[in-house]
Order: sequence, then C-alpha cells, then structure tokens
Amino acid sequence: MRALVRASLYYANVLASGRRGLCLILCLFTLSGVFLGFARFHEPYAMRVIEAELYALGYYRESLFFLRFAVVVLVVFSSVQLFVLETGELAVWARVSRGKALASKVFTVYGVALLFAWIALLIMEAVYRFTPYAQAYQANSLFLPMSVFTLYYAALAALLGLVSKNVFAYLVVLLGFFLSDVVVDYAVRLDEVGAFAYKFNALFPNLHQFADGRIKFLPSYPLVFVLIACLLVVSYFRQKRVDYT
Amino acid sequence: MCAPIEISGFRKRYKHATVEFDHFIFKDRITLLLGENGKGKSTLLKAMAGLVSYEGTIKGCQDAVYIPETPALPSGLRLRSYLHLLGEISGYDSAHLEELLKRFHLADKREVLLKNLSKGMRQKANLVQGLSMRKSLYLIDEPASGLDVETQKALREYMKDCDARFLCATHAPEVFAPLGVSCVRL
Repeated sequence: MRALVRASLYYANVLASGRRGLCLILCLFTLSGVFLGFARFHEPYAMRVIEAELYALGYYRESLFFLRFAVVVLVVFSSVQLFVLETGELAVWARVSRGKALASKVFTVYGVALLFAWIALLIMEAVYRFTPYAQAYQANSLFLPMSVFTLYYAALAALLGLVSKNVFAYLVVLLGFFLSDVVVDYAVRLDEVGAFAYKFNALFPNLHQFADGRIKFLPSYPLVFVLIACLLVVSYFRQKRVDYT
Repeated sequence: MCAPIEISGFRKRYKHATVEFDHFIFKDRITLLLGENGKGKSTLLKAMAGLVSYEGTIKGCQDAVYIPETPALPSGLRLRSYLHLLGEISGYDSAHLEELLKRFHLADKREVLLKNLSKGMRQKANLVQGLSMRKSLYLIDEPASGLDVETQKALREYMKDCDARFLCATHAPEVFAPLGVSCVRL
C-alpha cells in the first residue's frame, strides 16, 4: 500500500512538474475570472436584482457546463500524459510491480480530477454567494453529482489509457461528453426526454438542468458506471500480465 | 558471499524471435554478460528483475534491482525530485544517495531539470538512482553507455568498494577489465 501511494505521488509530480506554483495560481485566477464573468457582475445592479432568477439559472447553467468541460479535458489530458506520453516508467516498474504502477496511474488520474472538480466547485459556489441573486435560486448540492461525473469520466479515460495507446481514441470521451449534453434540451421536463437521449446518456452520463431547476443525471447512469468499472478492472488485470517492451 | 544465481531452461518467446538458454550459474560478484545484439542480454536481465514473463527457472534474484540503459526520464522533474520520489517508492538510503551524487559528480546538478541534462548526465542520474537502493544484486543494462572515462572509473571504483553483486550486460568489457570480472558470452 505504501509503495502504491508513493508511486501515485511520483506520477502526480510527473503530471504537475515544471512551474507548479505558477500553474496553480493561473488556474485559480482563470477559474475565478470565468465564474465572475458568468455571474455578470459587469451588468447594472438593478438588472441583476430584477432578473435575479434568470441570472441565477444562467449562472448555474454556464458555470456547470464550463466545469464539466474542464473536468473532461483534465481527465483526458492526465490520462494521455500518464498512459500514452509518459515514457520514463521502466524505472517505476522495476521498483514496484507492474500492477502497482498501473494502479497508481489510475489513482493519480482519479485524484487529480477529483481535486480539481472540488476546488472549482467551491470557487463556483463562492462566487455565486457574492451575487445579488444568491437567494433567487438554490441549486441542489452539486458535490456528489459532480464527484460521480468526475469519477465516471476519469474511469473512462483510464480505461482508454489501459486498452489503447492512441491519442485519438480520447476523442471518443470528448465527443461523447458534448453529444450527451446536446441531446438533452436545457430546462426540459424529465418525461419529455427522448429514448435516444436516454440511451446516449446511459453511455456518457451527463448532468442536466431540468424544468424544475434541479441539476441531475438521467436515471440510467448507475448501470453503465458499474459496467465501465468492471471493464476497467478486467483491463487492469490483462495489462498487469503484459511484458515490458 | 551471496548464493549463486542459477538459470535453467530459460525461454522467452517474442513475436519474431525466441531467446533460449539451457543452464547458467553466476557465482562471481561481478559478472559481465556479453554477446551480439539480439542475443538476449537485456531480456535475461529483465526476466531476472521480473519485468518480463518467461519459461524456466531463475533462482537467487530475490533482492535485485534492475537499472535500465539510459531510460527516458520524466523531463519536467528536477534531478533532486526525481531521485527522492523514485527512491521513496522502494526505499533508499539518503546518505548513500548523497555519497553517490558526489562520486558521480552530480552534486551540483540537483536543481537542474532532467530535460536539460545531457545523455551522459542522464545515464549518471539513472545509475545513481538505482545504486542508492542498497540491494544485494544490481542488474545493470549497458552501465558504461554514454559515460565519460572519469565516470567509468568512478563506477568501477564503486563496484569495487561495494559488497553487492553486479550482473551487467555490456558491449564494452574493457571498461570493467581492471576489476578482474568474469565474463559470460550468450
């Protein structure tokens, strides 16, 4: 277990190597800037009070899309970096077993993505609290759904990393995310969602804002989540036995 | 003295080639594996380190560390971070690491990014990291590759002073000849 944690730390450092402090500050500034932009602080105060509910819903819609997009890009980037581009891994494999090295890569993708999602979510909520329409719309807690979303896409990216070394394979994740967002209309009633949208969202679960203002997944997501988790485990055990070339 | 390393009925099948050895016993403290390209020197070392699957038996390699030939190092890490992070994974002796850094003239390169190191420096970093683990058996692939004469001498001296056993695959046996090593041709 200790070796697994240490190897994960090694990979996290490989992922975040270079000007870590600068990158972190830039990332926080960018996130804050983007959320402040979505909060429409540049518009007249009176407008923001009059159209409070509209602005609040809009803030959540835009911020959440940005947040999900950033998470998907991050998991794809981390997975490509660790599973496709990282070539200095023989030294790690020679020190821990290949299985542990692979597991630590998967954990690193999960850890980095979750940490980013939680921090970004906190900034998003913090910015919202400063808007005059903070009382107009109370979204359900996004902490759990966002964590599930992040874990799913991290699992998908890690699975691709285990089964394919082709960078273009990751386009599936990005396209899947975009399409699953597009196939369900904004603020639609749950009973109006079409069968195709249900099926597509079963494969690429996504968070949607429905007519009642609540943000949630379409009900079919747990099954595919389990399937992807199983595939990840199977791929892990298959890859574990492959020789180092 | 450590127990000898015994290899029998070794066979490793690749897609287009097969590496086979009937029986080998490595008794000496420093042994060089010699042979043309593709004879299976690196394969044998990797098999002994448990990095590749094989048929047959290998005995006496429990406490071994494999040091690859100039591996691709993570370019964004500094030498200090690389050595410590990798050392933490399987345990290392920091005092010993400091001594090795001095021996191999890397002490002033601690804060240099790995991507800015030359090939020889990278090979030195690779050797230092592996040797800092204080194992009883070092399996080194092309240890002299990319090293200047002075560093080759430092490596020879380290091998001479150290109690551990060394099994090195090399194309340059003359580098280690002053140590009076035994050679096995595959």
